[in-house]
Amino acid sequence: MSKLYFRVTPVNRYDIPALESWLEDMARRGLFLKKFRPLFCTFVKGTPRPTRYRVEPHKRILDEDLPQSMLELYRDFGWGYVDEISNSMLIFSTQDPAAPELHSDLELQGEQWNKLRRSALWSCWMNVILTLALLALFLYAEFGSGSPVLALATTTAPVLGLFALCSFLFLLPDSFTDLRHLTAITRQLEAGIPLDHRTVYPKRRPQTVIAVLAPAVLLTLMIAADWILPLAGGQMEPLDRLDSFTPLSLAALEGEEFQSATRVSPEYQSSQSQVLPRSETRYVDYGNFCRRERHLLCPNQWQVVQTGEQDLSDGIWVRMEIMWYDLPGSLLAVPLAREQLGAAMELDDGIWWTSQQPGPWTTDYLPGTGTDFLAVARRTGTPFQAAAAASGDKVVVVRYTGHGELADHLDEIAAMVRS
Amino acid sequence: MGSKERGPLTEPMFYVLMSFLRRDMCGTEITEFVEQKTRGRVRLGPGTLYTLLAKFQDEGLIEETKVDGRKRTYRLTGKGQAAYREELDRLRACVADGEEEAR
Repeated sequence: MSKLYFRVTPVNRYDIPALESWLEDMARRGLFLKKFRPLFCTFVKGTPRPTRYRVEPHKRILDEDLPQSMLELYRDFGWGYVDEISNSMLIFSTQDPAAPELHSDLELQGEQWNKLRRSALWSCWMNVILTLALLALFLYAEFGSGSPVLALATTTAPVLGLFALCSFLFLLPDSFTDLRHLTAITRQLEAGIPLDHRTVYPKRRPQTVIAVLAPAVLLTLMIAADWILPLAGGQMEPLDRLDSFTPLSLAALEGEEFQSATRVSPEYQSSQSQVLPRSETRYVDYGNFCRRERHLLCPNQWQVVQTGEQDLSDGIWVRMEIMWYDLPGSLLAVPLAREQLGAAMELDDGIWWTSQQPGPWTTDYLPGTGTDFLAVARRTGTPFQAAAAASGDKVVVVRYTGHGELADHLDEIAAMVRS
Repeated sequence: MGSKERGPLTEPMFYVLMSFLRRDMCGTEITEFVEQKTRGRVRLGPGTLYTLLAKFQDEGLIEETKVDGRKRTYRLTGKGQAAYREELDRLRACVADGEEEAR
């Protein structure tokens, strides 16, 4: 088997004169095209010989066979089939100086290229729609939840944004370039001017490498964010599994008479006892647990829940939930703390563990506590309290209903985000 | 009639249709016929010939009669003969008009 040589493709696949010129120059150096790819081509070594390469439009749908009658006819005229480009063009070559040029009817040749131009125009529109769809998906993922900073840190929104950006920067310009080249060919042939087969061409096209690699990298990130990272966490664990920080204790807030409440999920108990002996059944205390989740821009996120034995009035639990975020940098930390404090004050069933209660919130911002941000909020006339702190790349948000005062435990709250 | 949709035949189209008048032909034979008939003025490349044969087959002007290995032979259909005659009449009218004006 002949040794294969790889060379970066320096020209756009639809820049036909440039492509033919490059292939002919490679043949003069003894490298003959084996396989065409938009990013890099494969060559085999041979005796350097003048070789003519010609590219013919031929749209092939999915796994449709190559047009054998066409290849045979071309072979009869001295032109051998070399390879196909993106299911839309065929490359032929000849080393026979007497082999006739492929086309002698420019009008007819123009019709063939025009079919490809129409298909490129359609692709262009599809890419515009795809870019807009990606942008819409990104905007929905980023702003749909009402917490854009949290969405940026803990969802695939940034990857979708990069996809949209990548599509806008590379995919769209690339398809416009394709269309521009095909339109130029079609117009030239319609004007009765034969196609050029020699032209100057660039030495390299670095944007192509980025255009091909960027979607692959983004797709990998997307798969990692959506399918792999969730496997690295998400389970409810006993509180002693928490190893990233020391959480504010509900007992410290409630005082000496505090008793922790164990609340076992009856559904979980029932489903497990069907398959496991009762002695081996593992119960989940959904009143006291910690849960780690990992995200692309927040590799370490903890949810810590603690519950007391005695309920407050109106069936409200003594309960504290801590959300702790370890971000890759400090840029998002303070905005996230501010945003999540605001979210914590939006009393509704989706955020708090109770029905809505009347009364305005009062928030105290506490600068000079050795953190970048620290604030405590309380809803007047209710047991609902919230606090948020940020320091460096760490953020913590506390939601609490109980008898104590978060404002009396600022040092412990600040300590959760200090490295 | 095909030519009404297609407009006047181009020179290569006209000569390719002409090549089938006397007998069935394959690709290389068509090229040789056209080159000989036009004394080298019209030369058909394989790209043009393949496109023409495919187009004529789609329009029902010619049909494939035999595939012998790599050799594919075609013949003119009734519709193809009519298209050729119509183009011939058009060219005759063009020549007559031209000669009349030149007198």
